[in-house]
Amino acid sequence: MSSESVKPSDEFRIRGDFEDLEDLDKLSKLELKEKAKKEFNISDDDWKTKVEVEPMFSKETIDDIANIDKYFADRLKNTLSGKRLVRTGKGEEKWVQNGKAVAGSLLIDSAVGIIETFANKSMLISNVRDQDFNMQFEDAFKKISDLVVMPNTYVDVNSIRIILKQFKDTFWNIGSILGKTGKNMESYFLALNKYSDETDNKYRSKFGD
Amino acid sequence: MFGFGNKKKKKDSKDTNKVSSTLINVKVFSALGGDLRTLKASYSAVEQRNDFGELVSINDKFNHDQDVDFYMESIYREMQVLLDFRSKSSEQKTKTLNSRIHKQEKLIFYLDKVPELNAFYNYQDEWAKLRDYRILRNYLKIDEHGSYFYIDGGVRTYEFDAVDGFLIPRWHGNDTYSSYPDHTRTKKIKIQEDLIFQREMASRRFDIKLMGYAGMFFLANMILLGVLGYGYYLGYDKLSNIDNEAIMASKECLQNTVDVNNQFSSIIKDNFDFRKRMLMQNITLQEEHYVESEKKGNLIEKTINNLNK
Repeated sequence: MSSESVKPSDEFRIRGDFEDLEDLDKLSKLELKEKAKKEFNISDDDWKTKVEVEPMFSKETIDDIANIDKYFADRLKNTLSGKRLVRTGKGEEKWVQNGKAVAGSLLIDSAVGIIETFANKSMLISNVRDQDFNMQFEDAFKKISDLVVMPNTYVDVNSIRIILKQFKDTFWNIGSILGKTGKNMESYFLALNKYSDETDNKYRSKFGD
Repeated sequence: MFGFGNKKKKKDSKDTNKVSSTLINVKVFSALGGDLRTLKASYSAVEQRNDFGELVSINDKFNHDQDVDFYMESIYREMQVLLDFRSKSSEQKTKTLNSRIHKQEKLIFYLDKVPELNAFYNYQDEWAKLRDYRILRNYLKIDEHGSYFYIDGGVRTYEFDAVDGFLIPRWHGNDTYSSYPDHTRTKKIKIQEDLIFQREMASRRFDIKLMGYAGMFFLANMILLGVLGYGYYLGYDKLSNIDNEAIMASKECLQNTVDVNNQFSSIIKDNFDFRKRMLMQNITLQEEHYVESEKKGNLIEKTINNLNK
């Protein structure tokens, strides 16, 4: 009984058994866009306001320490939901939806919440001792990496590493801007890299694909 | 004819003993992309209760720690209620699910081709919804009569499908003679996470025994403090009475001293006055005596002079 020919379950197939999608496949992107608008009752105004979003905070306002967490949380939220920061001709910045969401809404909301709490003004990390910051930092990262592997927070399997890197970068930026603890960031990331490798081994069974 | 039947019976009883024993067989399969389902591992494991009282099968060598009981995930139970499956026939159920799946597939197709639509619908969320609908449709196919194990060589054998690190149990139907991976059942990974969380919480919590000792120590201290406080309260009244008496005595003593001092000073003063008066009298007497002696002296001188003459 080393191998047997059984049709695998269709849970993870992208295409189902319905044929009308093949007809849609022949249409151009513009035609599909118009068809999608009609199909899901989306008006042109809604399309304009939601597809191109102005950033809540710009780099100029980042000097205000209260906005650091909000700035990075906003960046993270937009990046994970598939938006890219684009510079317009006038030098303005805009978040434009030009990709698929990398993670589910539950993960995005939770991660943004964690980051906002982590770098909140009331618990400003530059004011606490290095030891406390280390503990806070690791706790926040553990929470996020646990969220990534939780089965009910939907994530594209291939983007797990990208998401974790995104979180790392976000933390790096917050840590380096708030100063003081910047010198220790290298050691934190060494520890975290080790931790993320461990989690990979822990959660991925040796019988897995 | 001559005792063959008896031998067979003995073998059967041995097999039934094996079935009721805690030793089980585990087979792990994996679908490698295509239709081929390959056996990746086969080993025996022992059923036992873990620290949390849950029945699990364990094989340390293969790092196998899986549940023996499986139960349906809440999301699929909820979906059955939301789609009103209780009042529907099996045909109606599949029809409803098919229409939902069709709609969802279309949405995902659009999300895939027109990325701007992701601003309205989250690709991952919609994809998860589709997956759940499909899992539920497959669950409806599963024969109600059956079990998660079959008996192979007299030993209970559990089969699992390894999908992306998750071990999913296979359901073996009695009537259909076929097996399906049952994705509606809770995966071990979820339970493991719960256990890890519980263990972490338990490690963070204080030791109950230590807390008991601390509580007893605190209680004993409180009782001691109460007794001491009551004792102080009792002693305070007595002390305050003793103080009053002492103050009265000291006041009396002081008054007496003042009186004695006054008397002594008046005596001294009187003495001084007396001495002064006496001295004055003495001086006048001496003066008188001098005058008299001078008078006498003059007479003597006069007589001496007269004699010399």
